[in-house]
Amino acid sequence: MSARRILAGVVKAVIAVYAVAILGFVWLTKDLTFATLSRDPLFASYSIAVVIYVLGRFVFALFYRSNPDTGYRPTVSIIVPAFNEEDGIIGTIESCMAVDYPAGRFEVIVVNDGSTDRTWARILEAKARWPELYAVDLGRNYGKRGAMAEGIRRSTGEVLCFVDSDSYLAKDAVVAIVQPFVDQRVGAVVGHADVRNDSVNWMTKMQQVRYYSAFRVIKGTESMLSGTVTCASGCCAAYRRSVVLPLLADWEFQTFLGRPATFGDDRALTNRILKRHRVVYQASARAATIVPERPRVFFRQQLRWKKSWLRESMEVVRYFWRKNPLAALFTYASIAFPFLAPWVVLHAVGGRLLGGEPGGLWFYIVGTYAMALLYSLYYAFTHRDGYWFHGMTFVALYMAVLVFQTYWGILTMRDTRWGTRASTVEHAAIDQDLVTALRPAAEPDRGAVAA
Amino acid sequence: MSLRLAAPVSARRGLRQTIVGLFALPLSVLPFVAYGTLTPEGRLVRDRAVVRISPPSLPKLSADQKAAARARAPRFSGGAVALAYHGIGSASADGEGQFVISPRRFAEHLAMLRAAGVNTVTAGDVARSFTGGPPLPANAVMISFDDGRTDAMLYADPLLKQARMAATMFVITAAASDPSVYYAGWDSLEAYARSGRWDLQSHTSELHREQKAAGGKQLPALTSLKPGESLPEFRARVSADLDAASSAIESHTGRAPVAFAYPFGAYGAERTNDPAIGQILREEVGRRYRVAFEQDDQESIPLLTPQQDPLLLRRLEVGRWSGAQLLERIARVSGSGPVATPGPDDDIEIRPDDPALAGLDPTDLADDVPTGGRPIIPGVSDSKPVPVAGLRIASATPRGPAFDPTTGAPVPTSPPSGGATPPATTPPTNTTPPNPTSPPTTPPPSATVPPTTPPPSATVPPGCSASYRGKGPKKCNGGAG
Repeated sequence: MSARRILAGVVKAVIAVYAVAILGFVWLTKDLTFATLSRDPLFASYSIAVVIYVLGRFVFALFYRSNPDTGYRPTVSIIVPAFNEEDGIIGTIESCMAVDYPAGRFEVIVVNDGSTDRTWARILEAKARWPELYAVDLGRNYGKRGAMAEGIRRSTGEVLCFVDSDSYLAKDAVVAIVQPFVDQRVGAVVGHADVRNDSVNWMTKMQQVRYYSAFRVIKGTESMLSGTVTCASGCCAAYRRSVVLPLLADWEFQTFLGRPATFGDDRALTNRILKRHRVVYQASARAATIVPERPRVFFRQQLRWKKSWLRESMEVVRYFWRKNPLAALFTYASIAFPFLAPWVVLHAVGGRLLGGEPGGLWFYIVGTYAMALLYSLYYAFTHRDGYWFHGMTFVALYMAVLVFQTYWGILTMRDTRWGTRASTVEHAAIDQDLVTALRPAAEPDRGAVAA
Repeated sequence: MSLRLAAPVSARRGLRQTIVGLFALPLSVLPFVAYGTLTPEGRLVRDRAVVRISPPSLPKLSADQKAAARARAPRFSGGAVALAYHGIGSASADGEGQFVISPRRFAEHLAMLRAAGVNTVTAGDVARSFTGGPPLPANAVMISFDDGRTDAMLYADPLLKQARMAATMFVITAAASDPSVYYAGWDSLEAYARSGRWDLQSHTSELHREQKAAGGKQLPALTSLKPGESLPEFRARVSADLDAASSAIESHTGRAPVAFAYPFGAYGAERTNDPAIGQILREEVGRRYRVAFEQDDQESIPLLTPQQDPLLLRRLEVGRWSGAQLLERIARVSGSGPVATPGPDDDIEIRPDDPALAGLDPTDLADDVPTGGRPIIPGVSDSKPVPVAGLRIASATPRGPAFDPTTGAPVPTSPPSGGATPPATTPPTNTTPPNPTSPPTTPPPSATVPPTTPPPSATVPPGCSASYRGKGPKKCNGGAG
């Protein structure tokens, strides 16, 4: 056991030295980059900005710490919207029911959004097993926001915790996720998501590394800069009830370009809350989520996220300058980069094809590789599962395909289908006549929550 | 952190993945290694890292080496020996290979020069001294580099600093304004100039290149007419370029350049497509600069003196020589140091037991033979001027008029009979104390030299030096600058 620990320590030390060496390499190339500023201003300034951006994020992320448990236990409603999840829903409900939280101070509400498979039957099985479960069947398909909104309206907790129907909560996740709400300025908290099916293939391994840095580095930094996390991801996020309720109708029936805004519910809700409140990241609140295993599904999911990012970014740029200046700088940069990135890629590759110096392309490739490696080593430093190098797979995929999704997303903005599931795209108020609501059996518990 | 919500994996599979991850760690270095060895930029980055981590330092000379340095110490005054270096760094397999010397070798050169009591001067010093300014110190050696290459300054600067020496950099100013990995930008050039160790002089603005000249050949842009270009147009082009170079250097360093180095060493005598070009170029260069340097005929490089044509001063191209070999070449050029036995090969023969070469591995020596210690055999059909006696070259006229056949430029030379007229500083009449080792082996010049001295013009056309030409056209272009 101690030998293993020593080995782990050695590996960590090696990784740390390696990362410092890469930083040294970046430092040595800096005047090469500065030298190309006059000749190639777009390329050089983009490179410099990206390096500062990435390293800046790392520096902040190094100092990130979760809020400790202060014994704060507000009433919590866990809301699980479900659509065609017959395979995973039982597991999700099970993880919610198994959460360590004072009995009577939390409830679990599962909302079936008109699934066409056996999801509702599964939910009924769960209801039989856990009578305290609150099971709601909307009777038809309204879309994820409708299901979530109905869950909110039927809930009573001070804190609303959303868990996607393909996600699983750690036992202590709820205790952890409510802690930041001690601060009255905080309107929403996002937990940390791992990939549940990470061992399946290279795609899921890659996403596991990606999730880690996206949460730990990006959200961690945003959280430290006055609570400015721009997306409280749906797999595990909690909201202050009093903050959400006034925004509910606007969010539920959001339209964009005259079309119902179907996906991006998490980012849209975060965005509305962020205007007046803080949104923080709590690394100790852990959840695991199922990620796409096939490239086709993965790319569709990424495109969907890109579209909602594009939509919400239009709002973000309008108010973010009033936020923490550093956070604003990071956020505006993170919005600008994806628009520039495809041109920079084309410039580096195309410039070479059109007879440019080969040096430009090699420099670009090795620079990108250095950044990818830093991200991946960050994962390697904390994980011993051997997945770390797939972080570079992700960057390669990002550079080759995903950067171009920004513009593809703009072109197909009006296509609001999910891409990964057949769901409704039209808004409608919930028809209560069609709803079946199975309240918790044990009345005393309900009373406790209401109190 | 260790809590995993992931679906369980079999222990064996998990272990395998962990091992793969561990192996991936060292493998992930490979792209950097490839970049640092396969691409020029990458090599430069690597060189910078090397300089940063372990800056080059002057070697501590062994007692033997010190003795060798003293023994071969050149002793002369009234003139200067000009050395032309190109790149310093990791010699690559490209055409410039033979002109790129390792930092270790350059450090050895400086250490030996210092031990031999050489005083470094800059091209500015030479120019001023030759035009009525303060005289040069004794044993003056001008270390010069061409092009403004980053790698040269990267390694040379810390070494010059330690050796308390100065060097001259002939800058291609357009390249400095548009810096790349090869060429230093003005910001770093200015910093080098401010250090006092670097004298920045002109190497044209943007005419350091070859062009497709009228007549279809690839020729240096400074010494050839473009297709359809007239001589007045050529003069205007050159004039504008030299003006641009001079004003760039003056605006960045505050000092107008007074010295010029011909790109590729071409000054219009050959590698040209019009016989009038040499004269036009000479006028345009002479109007702006007090001295100009080329690298003709490496085997007969003279000690530079004010009596020579100031616009055709010749530099010694330094190859991968040992410090002792360098001193020997300098001694030969200056006509002072030890002169070997009359045997044709002896003067630069490499003696494995030579104390000055101690510490060098044999492969180094082997490397040195073809470039540095090229044995010259007199009397073969080639019949180049024999390099044996630097004495000869320095004693007689620095350059015969035949060296300028095309330009017909007035070359301020004394007639061949004027061996007595040069100032007392030229070697044969050199008043410096004779080197203790040299007298016994010094043959009387008249005894050995005349038979082997053909008129230079008869055999060696001016232009590329022998070693230079040997590199072939393409390498010629990139190599000697």
